[in-house]
Amino acid sequence: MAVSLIRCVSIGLLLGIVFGGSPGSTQAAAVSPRPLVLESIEIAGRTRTPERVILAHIALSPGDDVTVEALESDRERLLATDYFKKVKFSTRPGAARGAVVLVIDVEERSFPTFETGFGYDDLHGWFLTLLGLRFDNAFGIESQFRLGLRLGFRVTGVDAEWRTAAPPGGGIGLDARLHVYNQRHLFFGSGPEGPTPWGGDGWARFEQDIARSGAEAGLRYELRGGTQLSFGFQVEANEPKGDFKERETDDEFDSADLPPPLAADLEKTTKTGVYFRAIRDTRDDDAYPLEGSFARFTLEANTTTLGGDHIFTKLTGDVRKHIALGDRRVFSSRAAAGVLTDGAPYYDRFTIGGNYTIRGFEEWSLSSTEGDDGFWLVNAELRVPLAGSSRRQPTLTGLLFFDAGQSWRREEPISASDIESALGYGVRLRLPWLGTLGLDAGVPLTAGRTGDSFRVHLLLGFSF
Amino acid sequence: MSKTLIRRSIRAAIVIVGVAGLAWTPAHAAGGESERPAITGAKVFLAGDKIVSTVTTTGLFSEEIVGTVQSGLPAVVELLYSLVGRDNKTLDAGLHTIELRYDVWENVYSAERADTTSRFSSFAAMASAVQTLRRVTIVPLSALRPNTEYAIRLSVAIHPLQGRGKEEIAGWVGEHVRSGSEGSLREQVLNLNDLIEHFFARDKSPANRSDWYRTEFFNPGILPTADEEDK
Repeated sequence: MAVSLIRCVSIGLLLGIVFGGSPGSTQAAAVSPRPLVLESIEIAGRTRTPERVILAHIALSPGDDVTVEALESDRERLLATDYFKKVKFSTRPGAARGAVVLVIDVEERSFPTFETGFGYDDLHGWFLTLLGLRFDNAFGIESQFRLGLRLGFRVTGVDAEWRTAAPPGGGIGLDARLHVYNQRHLFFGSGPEGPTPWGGDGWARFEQDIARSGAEAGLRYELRGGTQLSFGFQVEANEPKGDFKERETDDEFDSADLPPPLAADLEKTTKTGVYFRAIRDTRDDDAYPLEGSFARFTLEANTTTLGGDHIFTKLTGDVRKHIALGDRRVFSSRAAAGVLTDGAPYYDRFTIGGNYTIRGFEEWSLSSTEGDDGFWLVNAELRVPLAGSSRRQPTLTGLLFFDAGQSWRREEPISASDIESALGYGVRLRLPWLGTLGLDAGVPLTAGRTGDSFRVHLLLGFSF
Repeated sequence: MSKTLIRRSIRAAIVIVGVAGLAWTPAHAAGGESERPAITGAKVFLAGDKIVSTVTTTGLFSEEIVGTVQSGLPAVVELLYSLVGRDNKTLDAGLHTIELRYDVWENVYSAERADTTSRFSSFAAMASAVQTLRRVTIVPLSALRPNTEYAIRLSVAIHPLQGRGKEEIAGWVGEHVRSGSEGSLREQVLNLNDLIEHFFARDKSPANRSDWYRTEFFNPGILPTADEEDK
């Protein structure tokens, strides 16, 4: 009865979101009969940033028509680099009538920058960055170094990243990353107790700590049109702890009680290999895309040739498409899939369910105890502005979603009857201090394994 | 110590102070002022059924503002106002903007408010008109209680190209997104340096914005009319 009531309310809310009114947006464009022309650009205030770096980040160049919109767009580009605390644009008359000299006055950031924040990671869930350090544009090299001390429900540790920017017109950048943390790994199963340990019908949640530390370094080649190719090397040492506990009851167990596939991977091992990533992003905006597409493919090949203990290959793909429906209504869709070869430790296998995969189910609950060797997902979402018309991204956005997918072990037959799906609705609230926070309510259309009939998810940003 | 030595010391001190003073004095560019914008006076009147204010300002036209307007691109004057009671609580607040433009082809200056556009034949004439912002509507008379005292707080700013709104606050927060082999990460980041500076900086007012100016407290029932201002 309660489930039926929830479903009825859900459907009512869905219809309200779809057919509810949305504030329209209006834009007025000023038309200038005779354009002003940029004569030259002068830069003031820089102490360590080369002029070429500043000029590379702005679209205007001498000879171009000058408008307030073009100038503001370039100012925002410079601010977006995070190299400058302040960027001020002003102009003065050039030599000829209608000629304009652009004066760019910058105030570089003193470093380091201290920061704090919070976020969501596919592997570690929600986390808080207790303290972060950032060095932007150190020594005038276009680079960013970030170091964060992270604390979350499933992660504690330090993450450091160094990136050099590729030239705006396309070129090569460098990436390097280092991490040392304790990850709380989730797995689901019937439990070690009872007549058939890990063979029963129940599906409880367990947690086990894994000490993970690693590094990766590579080259990133950025092309015009939002395409990015990356290639590099990675190494990671992993040491799973033998002790684990059941989340609900806090009952603690030792390594003798672990499911056999997990117990087999308890040794400290090292993973070494290469990665290749390709990203193509033609979305018109990162935060609230109205049109465009995003595609990401990742190939990770681990080998013992470089001194590691594992040989396996992992391939994942993620394709998203956004279609504008007018009045900032958007239909967004995503298809994602992944496969890996035999030899991967359980903590590197695929898990689905929950935020950013199939909402309506508990996180990672739709995969087998030792993780899976393959998965696919499809997501469809209708996004409708509910309040706030002055900006591109509405203050409040309502959405309807449909998520479906499945994951599998290689030795088990893939069956259509194992496909899991959910329908739901949600809201996204754009807050000036906190970014975009989301609340999604999912109603499973299939049984799942934990028997959920309704689940609410807290998200950062949109699901995809 | 001899009198000569004392005199020399005084002379040297005067020279040092003078040189330091000259070095500190902001350079004056042709046609431009260099001090921060300031409100030097504001009078409150009754115009029909509205409370209006005439605000006198100085320091609006820095070298960069003059250059921007003279080159044919706009500058925007923003007058922020708030109505406060005796308890200093804000009862109403708003923003008036004036866009200053120069048509380089027709040699005409203009000051565009929300409802009116005034044209001028010279920059000096436009600057003179803008430095005294006449009859800025603050609040309808019907919104005020009779026999209650109010004051108006005012601040003026000028920006080259376009108004700035709340960009300073937006700059504190950033988004960090990363795609890796193990999935993606998204993080909302608060810049502590900017935040600390905002709350603890000695001078919080930007260089292009005036300090707040408060009018004398007035009783809406016994205000002079705008016609009396013209006399």
